[in-house]
Amino acid sequence: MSSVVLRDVRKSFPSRRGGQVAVLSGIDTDVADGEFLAILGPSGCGKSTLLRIISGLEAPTSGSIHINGADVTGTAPERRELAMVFQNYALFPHLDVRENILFGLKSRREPRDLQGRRLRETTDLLGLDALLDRKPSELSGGQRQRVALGRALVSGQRLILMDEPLSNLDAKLRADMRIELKRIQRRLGLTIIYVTHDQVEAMTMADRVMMLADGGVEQLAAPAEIYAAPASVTVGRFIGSPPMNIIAPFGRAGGALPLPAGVDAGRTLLGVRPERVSLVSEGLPCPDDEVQIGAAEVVVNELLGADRIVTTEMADGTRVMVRVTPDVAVAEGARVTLSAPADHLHLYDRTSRRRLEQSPFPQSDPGADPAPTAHMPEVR
Amino acid sequence: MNRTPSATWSGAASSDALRRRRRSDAGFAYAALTPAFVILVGFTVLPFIMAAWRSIHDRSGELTGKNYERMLHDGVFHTVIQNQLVYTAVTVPATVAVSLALALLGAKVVRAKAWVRVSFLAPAVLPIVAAGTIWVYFYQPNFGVLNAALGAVGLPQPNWLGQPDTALGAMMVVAIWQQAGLFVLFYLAALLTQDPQLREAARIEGTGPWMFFRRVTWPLLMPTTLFVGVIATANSFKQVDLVFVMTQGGPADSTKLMLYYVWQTAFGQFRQGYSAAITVALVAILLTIAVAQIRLLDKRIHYR
Repeated sequence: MSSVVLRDVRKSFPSRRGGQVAVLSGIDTDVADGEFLAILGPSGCGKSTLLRIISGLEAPTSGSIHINGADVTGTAPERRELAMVFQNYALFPHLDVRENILFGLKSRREPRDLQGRRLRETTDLLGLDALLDRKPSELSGGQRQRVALGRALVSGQRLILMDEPLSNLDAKLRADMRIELKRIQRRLGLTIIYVTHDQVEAMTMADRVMMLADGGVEQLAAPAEIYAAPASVTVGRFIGSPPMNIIAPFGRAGGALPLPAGVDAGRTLLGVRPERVSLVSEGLPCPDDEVQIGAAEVVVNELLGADRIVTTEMADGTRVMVRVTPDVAVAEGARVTLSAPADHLHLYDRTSRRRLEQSPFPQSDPGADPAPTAHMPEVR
Repeated sequence: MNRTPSATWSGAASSDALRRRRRSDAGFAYAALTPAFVILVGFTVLPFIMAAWRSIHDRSGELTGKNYERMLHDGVFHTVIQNQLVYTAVTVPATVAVSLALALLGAKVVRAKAWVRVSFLAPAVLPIVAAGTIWVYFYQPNFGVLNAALGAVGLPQPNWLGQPDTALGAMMVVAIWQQAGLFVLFYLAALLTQDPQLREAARIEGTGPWMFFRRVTWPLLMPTTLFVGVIATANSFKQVDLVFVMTQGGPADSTKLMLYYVWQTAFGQFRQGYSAAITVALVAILLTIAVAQIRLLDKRIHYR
């Protein structure tokens, strides 16, 4: 069993001008045993501070932390039954891989046969057998990463905190390590709290993603949900590449969007994912089952290999990015009309920037498949 | 220009250019070395060779081993050697320990950093003669600060510099205090470049402060310790200022160190041949210790 509960965790630091700067403003969450929770957010959002508070390296200003049902708010890190992987690995440069991995077990004076057995299990799992006698300076970035991971696994702790562990690796290695990490987590049934600013890592590995911004939780949900129904403009803009398009439906130019009754256009923002937007040449009819968003002009047309990203600009200057298949030929400068299925339009409050519960658009096709991957953007 | 393609691409011109480039690089290297080389040879190597030559020749220029023979029977010289070895064996480790301890404290200080560091360095920037004089007053048997303090708590008040048992020890305290200030800076610099995450990682793994010091901090400081050790050893053999200011080698030769004895025999007693022989012995001892130190520690040092 290894569960974590946070209740109203707050942290503020004294600022230079004498006041207090709030870094975390009331974080509540429950992490279940065996869960992989990703804490995602832009730099400076407080995600590393939150992890350090869970580890005990930093004390919260107020609030409480419970691990395995016990209140550990005032407990020293070494007595919290957790392991941690640091961003720059924090390997001891003068010790070889074996000594680095066994460092904690030796510190805790575990018996020698236990050390040997755990070392063997860990090195087998991570493929480190051939590197045991090397110093960290003789290892590649990926190998160092593995050693750091090994040091956390060998401790036998079921709760592992990770602070951007893959951010120093190159893209290909990162993709490999993502798969590796997920495999190990499943196999050992570990509870992992994983801090990252990389949405891909959060989306691919996590069971749930906690999106933090400005010290508060924007959304805590499964990856599919956080992508399909972002709870705020910030989440929609942060997750997804290119990010969610945010359009003021009645902007300066006056959009043509027919908002349902009861929704005040002046106080509403419209969000739509690039892959949900359809392009048709100006004057041609939009797909029957889609809501027309407005007219726009194609500004940039980029081929990414598997996709083509078309950037369009509406009359009021709002840029709308559209993801289409590579065989779509759209000339730059062409006039187009943008539309999207009603159930993929998201409405946000203009001041709070929070999601307005469920899309109030009339559902043209209630039987449409809600799975996001099943839809291909329609282009004529 | 009617070069044939083969002449153009043969590379003769470019290899010429490379050779010229190499020659000018070497020229610059020699030019840069010359000033240091001239000073080293003129003020260190030549005088040493001259001293060595003089130590094995008598006044008439005859080859002789008399000066070295005399060393064997010179009781004062034996005391001096003994003093010197005690002085080195105590001041070098003590300097390492004191400066490291101060640096560990200094690295932890959060407030008034600048003041703390200045106060560490203060003794090192003081002229040794001034430092020695100040401490002579501290040690003064009648009105010295130290004895006043001892008297206040009812302890005996010895004449620190006036009796053979305590004089060398009292002088060593001054020497350690005086040079530790400088070495604190080296330790502090090394400590501050250590990744603080190492401590955090070790803490989470349940490593206590002493264990962390022994297994991580101390090994990572080895290059600094070697440096401090070699310099402190050299300083101990060069120590002459404090002897002049505090004791003039007394009482009963108990604080007489090698360099002071060299000076005394050369300029006090005008036995220049003998003095030269002691100098040679001093250099031989110093070189042996330095080489041994580096050999011994080099194997156990982790350089980044």
